[in-house]
Amino acid sequence: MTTSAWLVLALPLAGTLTIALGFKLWPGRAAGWIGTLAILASFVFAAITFFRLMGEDEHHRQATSTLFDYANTVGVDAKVTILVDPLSVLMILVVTGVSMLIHLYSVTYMASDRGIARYFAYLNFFVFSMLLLVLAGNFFLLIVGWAFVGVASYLLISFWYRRKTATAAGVKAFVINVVGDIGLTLGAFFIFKNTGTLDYLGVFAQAGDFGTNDGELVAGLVLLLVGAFAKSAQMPFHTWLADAMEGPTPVSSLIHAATMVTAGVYLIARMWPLFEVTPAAAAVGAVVGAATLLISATIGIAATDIKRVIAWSTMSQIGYMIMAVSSGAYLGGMFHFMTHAFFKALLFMGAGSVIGAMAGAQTMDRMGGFRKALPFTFVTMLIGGLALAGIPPFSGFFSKDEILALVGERGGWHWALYVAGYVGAFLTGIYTFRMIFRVFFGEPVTEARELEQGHLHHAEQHINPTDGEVEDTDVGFPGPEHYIAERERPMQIAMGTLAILASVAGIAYISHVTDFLHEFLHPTFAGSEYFDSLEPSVGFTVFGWVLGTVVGVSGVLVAWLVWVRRPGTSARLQARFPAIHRLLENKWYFDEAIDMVFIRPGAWIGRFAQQTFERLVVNGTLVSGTTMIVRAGSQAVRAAQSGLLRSYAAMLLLGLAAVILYFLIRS
Amino acid sequence: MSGPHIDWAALSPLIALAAGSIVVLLVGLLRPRFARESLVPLLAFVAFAASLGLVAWQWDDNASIIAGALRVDELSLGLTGLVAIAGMLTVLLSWRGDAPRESAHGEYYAMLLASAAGMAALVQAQNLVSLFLAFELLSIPLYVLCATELRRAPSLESGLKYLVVGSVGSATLLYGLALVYGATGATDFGEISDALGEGSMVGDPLLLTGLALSIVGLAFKASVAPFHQWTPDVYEGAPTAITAFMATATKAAALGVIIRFLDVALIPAEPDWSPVLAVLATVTIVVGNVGAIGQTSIKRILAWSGVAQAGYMLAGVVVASQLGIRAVAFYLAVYLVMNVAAFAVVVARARETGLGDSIESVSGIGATKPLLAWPLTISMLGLAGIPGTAGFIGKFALIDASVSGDFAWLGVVIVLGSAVSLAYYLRVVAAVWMREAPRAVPALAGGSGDVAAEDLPRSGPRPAGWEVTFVAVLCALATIALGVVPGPVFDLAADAGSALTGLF
Repeated sequence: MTTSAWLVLALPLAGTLTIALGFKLWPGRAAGWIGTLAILASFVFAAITFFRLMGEDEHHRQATSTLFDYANTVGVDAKVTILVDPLSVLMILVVTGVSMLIHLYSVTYMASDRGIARYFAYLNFFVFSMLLLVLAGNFFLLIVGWAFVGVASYLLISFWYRRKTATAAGVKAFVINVVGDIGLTLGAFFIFKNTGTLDYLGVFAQAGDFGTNDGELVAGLVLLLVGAFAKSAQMPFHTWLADAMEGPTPVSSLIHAATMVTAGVYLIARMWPLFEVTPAAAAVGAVVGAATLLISATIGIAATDIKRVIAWSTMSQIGYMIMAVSSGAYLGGMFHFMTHAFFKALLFMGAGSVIGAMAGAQTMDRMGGFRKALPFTFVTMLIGGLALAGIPPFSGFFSKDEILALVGERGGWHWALYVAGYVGAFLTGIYTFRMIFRVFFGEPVTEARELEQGHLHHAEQHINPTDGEVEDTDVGFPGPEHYIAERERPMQIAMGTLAILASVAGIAYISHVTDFLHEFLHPTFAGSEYFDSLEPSVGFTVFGWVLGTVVGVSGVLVAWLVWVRRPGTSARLQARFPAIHRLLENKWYFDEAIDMVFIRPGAWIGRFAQQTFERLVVNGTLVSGTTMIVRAGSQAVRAAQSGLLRSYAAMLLLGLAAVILYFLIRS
Repeated sequence: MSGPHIDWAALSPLIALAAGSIVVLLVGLLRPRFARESLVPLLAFVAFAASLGLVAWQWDDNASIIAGALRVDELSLGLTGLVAIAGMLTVLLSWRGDAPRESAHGEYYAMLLASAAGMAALVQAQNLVSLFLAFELLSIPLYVLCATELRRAPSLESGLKYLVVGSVGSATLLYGLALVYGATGATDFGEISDALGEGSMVGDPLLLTGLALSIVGLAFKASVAPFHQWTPDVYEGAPTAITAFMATATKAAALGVIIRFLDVALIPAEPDWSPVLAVLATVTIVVGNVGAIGQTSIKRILAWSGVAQAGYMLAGVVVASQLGIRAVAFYLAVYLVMNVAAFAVVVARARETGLGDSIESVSGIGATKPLLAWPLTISMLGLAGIPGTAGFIGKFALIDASVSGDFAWLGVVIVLGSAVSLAYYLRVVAAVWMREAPRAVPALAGGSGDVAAEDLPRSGPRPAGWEVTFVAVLCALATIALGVVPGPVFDLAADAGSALTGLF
């Protein structure tokens, strides 16, 4: 069981090294196929691990395996250990499966990019990092995987490194992620300090020894939450995610669906024994999740860039998951993680296809009427959209309702979260179908009409969709060709598979009907206060389903009214409520707020420090002092290094005399 | 009257080296070119390999042999193994070099083996007499080896300098040993320790003077400041393969004997010598790192860095604990692979460009010579102690040892020293990746710029030889491997640490 899990981890790494070291040898798409095969093989081993795990009886579905001891010194024992249990197996199945399809999609999507080998080396590394993160059996390996994921996202977001906007977005993502890394590391230290071990199982065994809301544990877990928020793009660390759209579209798909942003959800679910004894820390997670799901949903309604709409929706959906796992609704959170991976990857792939048809343009203001030109993309994106909006019987409906039912069952102040969740669901219906209606309905634009005649529009000049900068298509920029799913078999296979999964994955757990996921995850959450005891009644479940359907459908209806039935409504609303529109268009001014609260004062302090403090104290005394000392020392040492034997002998004797004197004086 | 009992099996690693030296010398007399140019290096290589194999065979054996003159335990065996590995790599680097050809192959390799035998004996020495004998057996062949590039004046200069300054060092050591003997009346380490342990010796000027003199003599060999000044000059002038051997094997031998002499014979006087050693370590770290800044020759940079590294390792000796010895033993192993990787690249580039060991010779090789550029980069990052490389684990272990040994401030000094060291290590890395290759490679050029025309190396640019690249790549891979999976070597080092049972 653990052997196959190690292979799950090893294959993407092998793929990275093969592609990276032989990058000159792989012609054309070969690197893509190698990368895809590596992940496919990894997925096969994940499946083998899954079946082996199911072959064990309920009490033996948790195994650790140590590859080697990294550093075993006084007090710290850092081992390379993985933990295989239902939670990590669910993660690796989804991560490898969805990543494999994204790789497959990328093989054609990125075919004309000259950096294709570099792209797939990064992509495989990204998957490896994520697998390391979820398979880690202790905090040491978790931190390594966590940091690797940050690096991989930086490399891929700024993949088109000659776009200024792309490198800026990469830097932003990396900086915010490092803030999260610091939180995670400090949090792990707090926990290590109190338990004396880095191993998860060792820590969890001691969870009962902490009193409720033990001060240091709360501090440690809140710091862990900072790490989780940064990685999962929760407020106020969410601003990097929308900018991360600068990366190639399949990368967005990978970041949003399979890897990276779900790391925070996983972390909280993994740490459930600690969060259950510290309700204060769990409450922070739940409230931030709920706030994020509402705010980013409202921003999603105003965004005009097709990829950014989906990006804001990711934040909102991750908000649901964070809220769920922080409220004890572990089942709902992990279930939604799974279905979200399917439909979100699908939506990004559809967006990639549309962007291909638009020759690289991403703004929805220029799109419309693609229904006939892109029938396959339309159908698959519609399925993804229905799943995202929570329309039965698509998968998102069941997972979202499971979250809300469990949160409602928690009672108390969690009712507020329950209400927030349904408000969010209404907004989700609006922004999802706003996107679909604007892209696929209405008057066909020029590109759509040309495509209906069988001609794929091709831009003379490539324009950066963000700032209008003219690009050449040499290395470091997107390749010159564009691809649409209608014409590329691999893209169709990837999207078709995901569309099927997004439609039917809901059967994994339908409250009171099927129970598979609950039973499967049970060993991980055995002993949890909430996992088994939160059991909504049949009546409450059915009420939730009806409410969810009504809310979702009315969201879609509103979108239909505003953007299809009466196309001018949106402009009129903008004119009527300019303040709200500005607020949403500027993403609730979070960037500006961060700019005001952190960056400006930081820059001001920085300027002050630079102009006065640094010039006088730092530069004047410390730096030039240090460099002066070092330089003077260097000069003195080199002056002594005259090359003359007599001076060497003299120095030797001088040193000797000093040592003897010390000894004699001391005695 | 019969001589002392001799445990031949325990002595075998040393015998392999000494016997190899004689065989190589004799084979070197044969006429055919093949015998001299290929068979001799091969035999030398085999002798080193045999010694390494015998070390592995004897690993768990702890014995005092030849009437207590030598001590065979995991510490001495481990360091003998390091010397043998360094010897094997040196043979590969020397194989098609100038030095053996100019000085005669047989003699060159025979002296290499003899010096290695001296090192093996030195780390095993458990008696003042065997200590000094081994010390001289180590030194004298090295003086000659430094001067083996007969037609290059800097090589001759380096040999002569080493001889003169080295003699002063040896004399100091001998004087110190004599005084220690005079004060305690014993030459055996155990008996010295017993005599000191009685307590009547505390504050005895004779003993303390002897202590000071012998510490200085040994510190000299380990290039501890302020007794380090020969190091840059000698390292730069000597043939690069010999420099690599001196930097790694000599350092291992010198630190090995310092550990055994201080931690076995002089352990009762530990409160006396540990502050001195701590100060010496600090001075060494400062001087080494400061001296390396602004050098233009890679060999000189490595020499100064070697001084600094000796300071780091001395910190592990200062604490006089098993943890410290483990850290030193581990660091010596990783220091070996990191340094040899760098020296191998220097050898290769000196042959390929004719620019000698100037930093120019590696400028811009990142684009053209990945198999040399990566090893040099990894080696520099490793020496600086970047995580992921063996150097990080090594420094971590040293800092860990000094903190647990109540010398936390020494750990801080190590960290600060490492920070300064980036200034020169990264300069090399920057040259490799970010600078343009020198456009017109002069057919003949001096080593470090200021050498007169007649001192120029005889041979112009020529291929580096696969074995040099192999050594560089192998050592670089080992640097990474030991950084990711330090466990096995760390366990061996732990064995070496627990060999000195008198410590905690």
